[in-house]
Amino acid sequence: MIPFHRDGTDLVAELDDFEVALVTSLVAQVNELIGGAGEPAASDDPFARWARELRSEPLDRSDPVVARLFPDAYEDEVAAAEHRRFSQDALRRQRITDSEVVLADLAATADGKEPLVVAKADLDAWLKTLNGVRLSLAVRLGIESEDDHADLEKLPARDPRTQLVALYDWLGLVLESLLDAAHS
Amino acid sequence: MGAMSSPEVPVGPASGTAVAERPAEVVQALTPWVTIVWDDPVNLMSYVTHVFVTYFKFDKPKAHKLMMQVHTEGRAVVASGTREEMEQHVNAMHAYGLWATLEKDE
Repeated sequence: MIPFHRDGTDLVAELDDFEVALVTSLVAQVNELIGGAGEPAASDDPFARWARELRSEPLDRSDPVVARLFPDAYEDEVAAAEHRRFSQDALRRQRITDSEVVLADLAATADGKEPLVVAKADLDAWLKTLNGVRLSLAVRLGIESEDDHADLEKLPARDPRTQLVALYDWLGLVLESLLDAAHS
Repeated sequence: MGAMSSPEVPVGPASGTAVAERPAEVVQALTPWVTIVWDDPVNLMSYVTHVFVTYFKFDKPKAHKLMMQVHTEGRAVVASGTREEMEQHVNAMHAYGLWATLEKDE
């Protein structure tokens, strides 16, 4: 990756084909987990949007990734459940819409042949989505404290988790680069 | 700290039956609620600062100070106001992937 820099009001980076495929796959996986799979990217079709809004199967909260992406608003369990009943679907739709923005921008790079261009208006959709992927990886890696992360960094190369840890760290760099460019 | 707005006292039309309930409602409405952001090892410090600046419109020094408070003390109160307002803030923090809750200010 060539890190993000500002170009007018756009934020521009260069990702190679492997990186584009990787981020696309990760974003799509999280999307699928929260019920956004198979939706056409950034569809203008009002019927498709309407159909999506009607769809609301309950999320599988026993999956710790889902629980982390949709945390409790209250420490009290009853109040948290009540709050979730009214807010969760909007939060889920927002995450799906954000991820569609990201997937469309990634697709526009034609497998990394063109620069990745993030419009300033889409900055937060990108940040939220990349951060969501990072949170998901952290849950899968069991990162619950700073020490957990430090321990993962010391794993031997043959450990199957080292690749995920590298990916987690790389996504942190991408996020940081996007933030740096946005605030430059 | 970080008050976004004053608690709103409901001023509905007075009706015979509502009068009896009113004192309790007013006490409820005057009790401020707070939005708390909790520390977690995943969200980047620069990201949390960005969220505070972007969503709460805090200036950079204030956003940075609150972010550091979350990081070092484990939590920070970032807003206070009515319960409805705090629910909105918490929803927004969750949309950013921050770990936030609301509670009655004791």
